[in-house]
Parts: sequence; C-alpha cells; structure tokens
Amino acid sequence: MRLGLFNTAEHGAPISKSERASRHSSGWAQMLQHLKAQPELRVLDVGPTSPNNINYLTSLGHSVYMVDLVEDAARPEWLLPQEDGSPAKFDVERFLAANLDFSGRGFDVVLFWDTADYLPESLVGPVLERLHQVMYTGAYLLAFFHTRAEAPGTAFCRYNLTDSDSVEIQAAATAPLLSVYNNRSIEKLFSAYSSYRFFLAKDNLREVIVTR
Amino acid sequence: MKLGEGSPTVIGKTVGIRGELTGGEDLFMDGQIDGTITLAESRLTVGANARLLADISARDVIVFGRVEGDIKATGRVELRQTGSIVGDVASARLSIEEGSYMKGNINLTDAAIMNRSLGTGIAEIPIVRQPASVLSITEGTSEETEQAEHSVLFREK
Repeated sequence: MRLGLFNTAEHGAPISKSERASRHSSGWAQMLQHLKAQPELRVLDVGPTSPNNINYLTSLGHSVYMVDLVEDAARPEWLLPQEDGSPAKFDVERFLAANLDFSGRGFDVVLFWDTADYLPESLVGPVLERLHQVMYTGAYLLAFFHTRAEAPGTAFCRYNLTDSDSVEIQAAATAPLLSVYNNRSIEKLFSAYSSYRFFLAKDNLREVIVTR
Repeated sequence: MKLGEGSPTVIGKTVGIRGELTGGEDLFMDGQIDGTITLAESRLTVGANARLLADISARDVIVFGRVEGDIKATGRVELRQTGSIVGDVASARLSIEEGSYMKGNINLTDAAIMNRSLGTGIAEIPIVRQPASVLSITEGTSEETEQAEHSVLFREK
C-alpha cells in the first residue's frame, strides 16, 4: 500500500495497527547508505518496539537501543502538581534520567522519527540536548516533522525500516500530535548540532538529517 | 523416568526470591526474583506471571513475563508477545514478537548475524550489502524549493 496525503492509505482510510503503508523517504534512503557503508554502528531507535527494525539493524551488524519516549511521556507520573493551582509541570529531569540514561553509551545514528511532535513542548529541547550529549561527533540523527496539525494523518505511527528508499508506516498508539514545528523552529531545536539537511516532500512530513 | 527428567524445574507464581539463583537444568520461572539468575548451560523460561528484577545469564531465555535487567544468552533469546524486557540483551540469536516491549540495547554476536532465527510474525529481511558511499552532509545554499517531491535543502550553521 502506498501512502497518500495525511498519512492515509491512498484510498483515504486511516492506517490501522495491522496495516502498513509504504512512504518514500529521502532521509531514510540517505541514512541507509550510511548504515550499509559503516560496520558495527550503535543505533538508537526511538519509538514503539519494532521487531522489524531490530532484526533489520542487527542484520546489518549494528547494535540497537530501543526506547519509546512518546508512550512513556504520556504517563501521568511525570506531572508535578503546582501548589498555586497553575498547570502541572512536566518533571523533565526525572524523565530524562529514567529514559535517556545510557550508562555512558554513545550512538552513531539516532532514528528520532517524528517523536518531537508528540512530546510535551517543554520536553523536546531537553531531549534533543541529551541526545546531543550521547551522540558521537559526526553522528547522524533522522527526524520527521509534521507540517500540519489537522487530522487525519497525525496519528502516532511506527516507522518500520525497509531495505529500500521507503519506510513502512504502522499505527502505534493514540498519542495526540502536540506541536507542529516550522523550518525556523526546527533549526532552533537543532541549534547545538553542527549541520542539518532538510528534505521536503509533497505530503505532510518534513524530513531532516542532523549531524552532531 | 526419574522425577524432573525431561521437564524443567518450576518456580510458581507465588514464590518470591531475593538473591542469587544458579542451576544446571532448565527452569520455568513464574514468580518474582530480585537478584541474579545464572543457568550456564540451560534454558530459562520467564512465565507470563513472572516479574524478574534480575540480571540473567543462560543458554536460552524465553520471555513471556516481565524482566528488568540485562540478559546474556549463549544461545537464543525469545521475547514473546506478552513479554517485556527493560535492559540490555546480548545473545547469539534473537526473536521478538509483535506486541512485545523492549527498552534497552540489543547486541547480537557475529554468529547471530550469519545464522539468524526470526520469531513469529516477523518477516525475514535479506541482508543486502551494496557498495555505498558514506553519507555526507554537503554545505550549500539555503534556497528553498517545493516543486520536486523530495527536494533537498542544505543549511549550515
């Protein structure tokens, strides 16, 4: 199945958990070249557990670290009630310690996908800062950003890797899209990184490869 | 047949253990443990009711329940649909079912790469090694274009 606009199948129906829709990804195509050219990379794959991705990345000889930030961030345990009645604050430090403490391990590749769009805004900057700390110099990060907030097409999905220039998209959870970042906002998010490269598409996903 | 021959030792779901568990025979663990499990030449099956807060070392480890800790297996690790692992996995072979949960590092030995065994519902993906150039991020203009389906923007700090 090919993916149409708004992350729907071409016939217009939303992607279900059992369906996978194929989407061309220039960012993934570039990253795949790197993954095939370099041996024994350490890859951080952010998202719901994907047996497909684990098998594929390990078949290339790389080690994989899996972490699902969106699902974990949605838990109420991170919210700190405020005494003055103002909205609860997200406990960023505790979240980072629980989810992004890699015990000194560094990474050559981070597959961040569209995670930023589904995290609380106060968490996105600190998460990218932590990733910057754990990425080796010259390491690459692949991120997707939605260009529109309207549903359908904003369902949280798992990106499954393929041995081609496409990724397969599979509905993963009911997490709502919380933010839409424009190019300038994305540049700010990655201001600490050395360079970035955008890939535009006709659908509503903007892709970027960032170099540490 | 003698008692225990051909069937694993079973630790039921009401049993809780704190400390080190070692053995030389297959074990079905459905209880709780806070410590370590070492079964050098044997198989550990983590039952659906099991809650293990333990580093595990065994030949094979099959996980239906919940494991928090690192797993080292000289043979295979199987993470079944109901299972979850929070910790690092180092094994020769690995299979993970759809619907399971994994948080941590996965490191397979070279033997695993050459002799992979995939789990239920997982499509085998052929290893295709093609000559490929190293990904290079080219410095260039910031001119933006949208007419091509996948046009490329270059930006440099």
